[in-house]
Amino acid sequence: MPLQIFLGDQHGLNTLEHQPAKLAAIEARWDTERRVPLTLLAIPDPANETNRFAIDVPLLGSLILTHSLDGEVKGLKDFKPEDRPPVAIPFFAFRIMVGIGLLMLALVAASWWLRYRGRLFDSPLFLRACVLMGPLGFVAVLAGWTTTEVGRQPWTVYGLMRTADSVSPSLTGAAALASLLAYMAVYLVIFPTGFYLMARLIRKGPAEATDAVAPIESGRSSAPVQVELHTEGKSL
Amino acid sequence: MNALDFVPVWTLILGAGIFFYVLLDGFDLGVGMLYGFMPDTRSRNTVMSAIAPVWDGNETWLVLGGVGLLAAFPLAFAIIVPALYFPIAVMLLAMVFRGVAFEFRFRDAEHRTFWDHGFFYGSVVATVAQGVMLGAFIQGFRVEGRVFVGTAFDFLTPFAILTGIALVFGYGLLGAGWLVLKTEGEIQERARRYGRLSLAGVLVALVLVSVWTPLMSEQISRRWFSWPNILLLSPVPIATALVAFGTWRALSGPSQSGAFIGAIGLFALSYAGIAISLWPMIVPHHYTLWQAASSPSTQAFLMVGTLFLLPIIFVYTGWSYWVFRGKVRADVGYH
Repeated sequence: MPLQIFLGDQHGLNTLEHQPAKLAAIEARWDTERRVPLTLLAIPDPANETNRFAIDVPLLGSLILTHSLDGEVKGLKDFKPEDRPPVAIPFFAFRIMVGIGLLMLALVAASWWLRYRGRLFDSPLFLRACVLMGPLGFVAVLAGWTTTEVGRQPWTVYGLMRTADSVSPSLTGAAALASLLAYMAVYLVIFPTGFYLMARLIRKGPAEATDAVAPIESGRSSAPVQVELHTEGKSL
Repeated sequence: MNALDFVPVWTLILGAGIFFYVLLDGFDLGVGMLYGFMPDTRSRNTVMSAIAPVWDGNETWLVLGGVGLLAAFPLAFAIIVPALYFPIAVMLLAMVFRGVAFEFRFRDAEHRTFWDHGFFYGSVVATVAQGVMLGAFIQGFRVEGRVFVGTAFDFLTPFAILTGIALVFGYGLLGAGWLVLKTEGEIQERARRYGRLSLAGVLVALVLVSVWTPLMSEQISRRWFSWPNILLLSPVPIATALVAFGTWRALSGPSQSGAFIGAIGLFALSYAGIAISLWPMIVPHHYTLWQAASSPSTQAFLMVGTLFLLPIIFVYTGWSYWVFRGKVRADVGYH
């Protein structure tokens, strides 16, 4: 987790250099300034080019983004309105991602503390938190993906080709809609089934260890096809 | 920027990649279709086990083909993929059903019949979609400048429907050959029977396509029937007839591997036939391989990674086939 946060920080420096408009949208910065605050939460207001109900921490923005209290951060007003990404989506998606990351870090810290106290495997509260944190990893990944893809708009090839110009000329809206609906229909069958089956596997709990390793015949285990062998088969 | 021409190498990589894909995923799609004709759960288990360890590795080549086309021949990609928008989407969705059926069928015993159907119909639909793509590709697309200007349903022509059905028989033959190789007893007998049926369908389709294609395009007709080409290219149809005869014999006799090898031979000859017809076009009637190629520096850059990766793919693919060699049995599976 700490490594992930370090990499995220490095990624941020890179984005500031190569895709400054994305960074400005993520942080909801409107004016190019030095010594910028970090906006923890706000409701970005693109029409008036400002943030409402902002909760700011002074100087922290420059410190995190440039690693210097005096660092300059580009604001969205430096970009023509048609070259700016939407602000609210990357702003909130990024906060969801980072928020989950910090929760995970807190969980790691809690695990160290519990291990120190020798109660790592006995605290129901901690174990339940671990279970809940599992799916949050997916949420964080999706939020991060949303941040980076919405934040790069309106460009497909940054600064060179707009998303609107990169659509296949022959592709009609109806065709795109039809294929999207088909994908949705398929995933509405596949995803709940997969979810249900995974939940059932988890509810069953860890498989009982069979008494012997299944014999091998021409490279395959000769035991019947069943769930219990899945974990064991890997070690063969 | 340099005098080296990477187009032939990329043509070779892409051509080989697509051919490997057609052979490898072809036999497991074919097995997926024959699966629907198996009489009971036990034989279906055996049939699925015959491809379970290798099918997803086979689809590697689809990724290589798609990305290779995008990176090495971007103009061709930009025209072909939008023109085949729906067949590609349908193929991918069918493969989703087929792919998850391997896992869901074992984990979700209450709905096994549903996933059995998913596996069978997924295989059929993906195969027909691929055949339709091939037919539409050979026929050519409406192109103006550097873009496809037809509609999303241009692909649906009588010729493309013929190639779609033809490929069902073709993959069915490959799949039957694989099952003869991998199974014994009653299932093997069934595979031989379905193999002969598929081979008959393949031969009819080969004749129809070989007559229809030159009629569609004067250029293709001239390539095959002008002097001295007609003499120089005559080994292709003659070899096809001989291989077809050998495959029939292998399906009817005791041979374990003859049918699969014969099926590969027929695919190789058909593939060569298409290549002879279309060379050097990558967008038939419009753009050659050289016109559609990305810049030499792009192709060189991509080649570095590809030439590292290809041997690795070959080694792990070969290894997995070696590990899972021999006959399969119903009660033996890798799951």
